[in-house]
Amino acid sequence: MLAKTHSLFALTVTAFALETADWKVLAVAAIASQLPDVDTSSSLAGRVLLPLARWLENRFPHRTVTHSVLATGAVALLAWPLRWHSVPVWSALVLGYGCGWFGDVFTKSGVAAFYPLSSARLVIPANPRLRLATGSRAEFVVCGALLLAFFWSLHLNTNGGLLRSFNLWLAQPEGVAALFARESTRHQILAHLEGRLVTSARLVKEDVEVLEVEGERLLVRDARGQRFWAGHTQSCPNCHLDIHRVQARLGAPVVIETRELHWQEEELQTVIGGWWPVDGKDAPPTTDHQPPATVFLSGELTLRDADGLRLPTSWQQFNPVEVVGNPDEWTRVRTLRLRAATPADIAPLHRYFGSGHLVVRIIRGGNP
Amino acid sequence: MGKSHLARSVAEALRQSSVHVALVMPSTPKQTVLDIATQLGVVVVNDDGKQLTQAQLQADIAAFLFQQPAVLLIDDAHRLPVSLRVWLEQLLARGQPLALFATHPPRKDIFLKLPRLELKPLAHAQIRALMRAAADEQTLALSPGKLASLQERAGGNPMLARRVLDEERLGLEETAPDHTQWIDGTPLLIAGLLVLSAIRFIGRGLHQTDLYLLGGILAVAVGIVRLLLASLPRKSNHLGK
Repeated sequence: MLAKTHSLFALTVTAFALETADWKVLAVAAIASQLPDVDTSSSLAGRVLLPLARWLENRFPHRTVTHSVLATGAVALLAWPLRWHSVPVWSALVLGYGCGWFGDVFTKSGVAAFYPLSSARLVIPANPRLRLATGSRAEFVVCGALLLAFFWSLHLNTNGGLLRSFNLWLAQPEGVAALFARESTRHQILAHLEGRLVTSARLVKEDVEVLEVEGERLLVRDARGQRFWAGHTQSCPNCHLDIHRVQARLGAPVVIETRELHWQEEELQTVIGGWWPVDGKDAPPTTDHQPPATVFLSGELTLRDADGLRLPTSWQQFNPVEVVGNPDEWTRVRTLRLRAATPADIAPLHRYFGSGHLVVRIIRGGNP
Repeated sequence: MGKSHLARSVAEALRQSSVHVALVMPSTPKQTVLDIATQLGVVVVNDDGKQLTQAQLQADIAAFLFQQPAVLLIDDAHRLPVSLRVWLEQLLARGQPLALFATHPPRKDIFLKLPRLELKPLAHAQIRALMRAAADEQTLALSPGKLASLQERAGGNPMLARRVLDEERLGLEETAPDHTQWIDGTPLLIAGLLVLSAIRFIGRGLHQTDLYLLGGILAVAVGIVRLLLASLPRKSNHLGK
């Protein structure tokens, strides 16, 4: 098998196995794939390591001692200290070496893979007519196929890997949920969504931000700031948006900070006002020299004298603040449940007294 | 050392020990029997000077061996016809010393009744030494690298080692090696690929729909590869393309 075929085979396998497009890792695999051929001085590796090649070719037939499972194990052991520097580089070295000789299994002569236990040659397939002859036209076809597979693996790996691309292709909420679970602490999760509003049956086709995930349903926010539960209505009867297709992608990097607020019998404005101006806008930073932040509040509020409180509710979109249970006639206490509510959502509550327990999620970075 | 070389060496050693030996290679049944008779010194013509029939020769040889001990050595015994194998079996039953040298002998009749000695493939060093000697004989100047490359086509078979050198001397195109030391890796490949099917169960266990679906698709792909590999033409017993 030609040196370039060895390299392409090793590059493709390494790129897929390690899910990497790092040129340093891939270069190590490509170089390592040449090493098994050090047993002949006519090879590239043999010319570079001529004394070793001369020593080996005087003692062993081609494709025996260096083309074996044992040799691969020896390389893995000898290169073990590399793991302290970089595990992917070590893995690429071992994979590259293994691929270097395993490719020859598909050639007419095969390799003595189990040397020195057996000198029998491992071949695939058994019929020699179907195996590759070095430099043959069939080998060039294989080279071409490997080149295509390698570029495809690079494309996949630079776009988040095989699973991510598979999810993009499926375009279902489960894929978005998987990406959200993996990346939402580091990146804003954006999605292109196609579906239908459940109440009005209006077709929706737009870019949204994924705020939360619950099972297979997604809490999304569109460009107008409206929030919806989106999912398949068969599994999510309360969803506002029936998803046909949804493809997620990573947005800008974010830093997320979470705090908890507890208070008893205080005016909400006093509690919240210590955090950000109560002008009804999403919160600016509480400390100087920090980028703008988006704030989401979740938790429960118990407000006194709130029998006159009227909150806007909608059947068509997500209600971040909801009244829980019936108001107490005597004390006029109302319990509110907040979920992914913005400071603007609770602006009407600022003058009320009461108790509360809120989890505040402050997201810095991203595009508000 | 190959089987023919071993047969010749055994014959030579026995002759040096003054043991009567007949070493033959099967051709036609009549010719084979004739060769044995000639080497043993059995008269092969009748009083009229006419050559004896095969049956007469076999009877005369049997009578000769009954009177005078001799060893029968038959090279390439896998090519012996049934009639001669049966005759040799009868001789063996009478206590006739004989040795058959065969490549992949059939698992039946006389081959089952003789103690078996299997020749292992020659070691790399032995084959290399043999190839060097043969190359010197043919005044072929071959580098160690070229010898290493040619040696992989010979396996541990000395006959093939010499043939490979002949092919090199004649400048012939490289053909698929004819030695028999092969391991078909196709089942190993399929088994390795089948491991990918486990992704399906991992996906199911972890409630990851994408992993479950991908594992399912991979399992189908492996099934297709397996079917395709199984449908490939089998290795032919004939030489060449």
